[in-house]
Amino acid sequence: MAVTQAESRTARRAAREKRPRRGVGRRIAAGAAGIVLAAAAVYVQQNFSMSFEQRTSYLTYKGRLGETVETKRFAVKVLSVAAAHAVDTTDYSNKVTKVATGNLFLLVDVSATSTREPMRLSESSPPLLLTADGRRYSPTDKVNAALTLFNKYIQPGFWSSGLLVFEVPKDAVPGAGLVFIPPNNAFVNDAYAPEAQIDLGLSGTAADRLVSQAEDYHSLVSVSR
Amino acid sequence: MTSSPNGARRRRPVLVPVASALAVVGIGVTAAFGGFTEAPEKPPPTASPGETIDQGQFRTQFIKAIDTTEQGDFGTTKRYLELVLKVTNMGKETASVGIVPEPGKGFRQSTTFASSLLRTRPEIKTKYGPQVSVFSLGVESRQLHPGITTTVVVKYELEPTAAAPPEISLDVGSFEYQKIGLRDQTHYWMLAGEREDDKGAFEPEVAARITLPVRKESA
Amino acid sequence: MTETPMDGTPPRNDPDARDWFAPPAEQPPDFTDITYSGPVPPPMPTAPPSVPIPGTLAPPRDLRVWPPLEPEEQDRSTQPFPALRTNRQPPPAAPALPSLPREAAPEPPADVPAAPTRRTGLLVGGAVLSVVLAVGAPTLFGYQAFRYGRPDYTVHIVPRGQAGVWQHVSWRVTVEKTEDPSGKPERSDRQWLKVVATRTALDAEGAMRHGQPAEVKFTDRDGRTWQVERVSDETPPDAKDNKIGTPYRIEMMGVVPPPVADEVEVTLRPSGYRDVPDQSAEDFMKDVFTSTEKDDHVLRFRR
Repeated sequence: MAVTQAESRTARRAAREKRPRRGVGRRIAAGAAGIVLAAAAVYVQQNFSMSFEQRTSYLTYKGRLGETVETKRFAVKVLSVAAAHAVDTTDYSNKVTKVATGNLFLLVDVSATSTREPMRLSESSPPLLLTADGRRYSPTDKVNAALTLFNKYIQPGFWSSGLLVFEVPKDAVPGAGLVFIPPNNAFVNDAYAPEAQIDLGLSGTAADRLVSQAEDYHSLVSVSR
Repeated sequence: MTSSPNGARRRRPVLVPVASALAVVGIGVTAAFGGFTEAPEKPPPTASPGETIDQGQFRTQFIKAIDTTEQGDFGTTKRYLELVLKVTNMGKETASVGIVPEPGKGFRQSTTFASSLLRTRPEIKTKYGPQVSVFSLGVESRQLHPGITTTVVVKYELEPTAAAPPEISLDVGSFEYQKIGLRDQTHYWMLAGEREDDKGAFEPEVAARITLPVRKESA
Repeated sequence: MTETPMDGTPPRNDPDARDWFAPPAEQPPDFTDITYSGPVPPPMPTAPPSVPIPGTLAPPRDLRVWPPLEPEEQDRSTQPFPALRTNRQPPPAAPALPSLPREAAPEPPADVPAAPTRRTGLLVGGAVLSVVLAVGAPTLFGYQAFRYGRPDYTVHIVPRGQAGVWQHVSWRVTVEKTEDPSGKPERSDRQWLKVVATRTALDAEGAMRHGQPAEVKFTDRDGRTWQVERVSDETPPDAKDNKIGTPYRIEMMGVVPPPVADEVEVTLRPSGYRDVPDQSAEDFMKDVFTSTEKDDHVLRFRR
């Protein structure tokens, strides 16, 4: 029995050796290429894979202060940026009250037009102020939305402009940008919707100037368009 | 297959019997000591008024609890028990102040600040629950912006004749930055705690317990 | 190595032919079968290991010493019982050993040039298929979600000056240019338009359908749309007061760019809301949930 098994084993080995083989060099090269490919895949996965937030975020179009950023669904431009220590707001009975802050109100004058259909900014996914270190500020709720761009329909064929008011600490000003996020369908979130990220041009000295020359009081009611 | 009788002597396998003996002894000893039971929960750390509590997303100081009256509409006076807090948003996004969880109704894994004010002792009964708002320079808001320290006021409306408790004790939760699920893996700051069997009621973790004396203060 | 018959009871058409303890004839001999003393067949070939074991496997070095090697075929059995079978066939010869690896071996040289192209085709096809699937499946899913969010409307064109009828209600629409109602200075890039829609219930069913239109928009030839906001609505809030045949005015306002001010048409999507007089809230909810009617019909009024 032992003898027959040994025989069969040698026979099998002989059969295997009879198979035509590729050259040893080619085999080594193919093996090395395989290892390199696998290693590259792992490396890419480890170093270049996007986080879930990045993968599901909107398609971002970038631009600068004064420039028109055009996307497939809308076009937007930031006309100017101002800073103030106090603004005003209205309540339901149109009574005007002054609103002060120990921080800073950034008043971003935004103009936008839409490509095909009317749209209105949404309070649940509002435009954001993005700081250089990645903090994201929602527009302040201290100012009645009726005085801001939230109150306007952004429609095809003409530009609608309005202010967006953010309350930020002074250290948020340098390098800040506006992320203009259009409203999204309440039922189906379109992950490939465009958004516009606009650099507000607040580098070093410009930011210092904006902070130091902030108005004491900027009335929104009188300039409301 | 067939082993030769005069082959080399095999060494006796000792490792497996010894390991099994050790395991049996270990189980026996554990059983003798009463087995594993859940260790008694450590009482949450207590904080004193004015001390900064780290809630993950927020740094919070409990300043005071006051029993005060306020001029209401139409010349009425309303009596409130107010908790005054100083809150700094340490996160990267504007947070909502939200509402305080209703006593006895369980907890939700919320992302709002007030959801971390888990419970008070004694429980203060109000019709609609306390109002929570952010105040700075007299302006009311419901937002907590990153990097800004603001005063948060929790107002419990009291009956004009009701006796305010001499002191009020609060359980404060904390927040963890985690993804909300496997399908939607977006990260949010969410109230830290545990869910029984992954499905049962959410039981938030108490990060700190704080007791504030209630002072009478005229508005 | 041992194969027991799957049907535990062997055929018993000839019970005397075989001993009680003797295995059936089909069964290959087993070395534990003490009744067997025929020639020892080569073992059933086991499949060569699919994963080659590295290193060399030393052949067993033990030697058969007992029973002493004898010329085969000779019956050396010392077992006195049970009785040997007489009808036992020699076991089926195991398949010739070398044949199996040879079958698995590559094709004859004539096929060699064909093989790489076939494999390349398969590889390319597989790659294309996986890319198509990886891109197509999420796209299809996303498109369906998109369609779900924007259902298809059925558009009924209403000729100029005529009335459009939908669900027992007749609709008429007029559009005229107007000035900015807020009295602000006119701007050259926008033109205010005033829309007057009149609804007339044609019968009792139409009187019940007195809800505000689900959507009113301006649409130009390219399909761009503009918002139309309601200013006033004369429709009685109660279906009982809604008289059949009486027109009720709904005034609306909108802004469009001047170049399309003479071109834009009003699209009106009536609401499927039914206000049955004296209906209980429960019945109303039941109707809402059992109704298959969707607000997906649009009247487009030509200008």
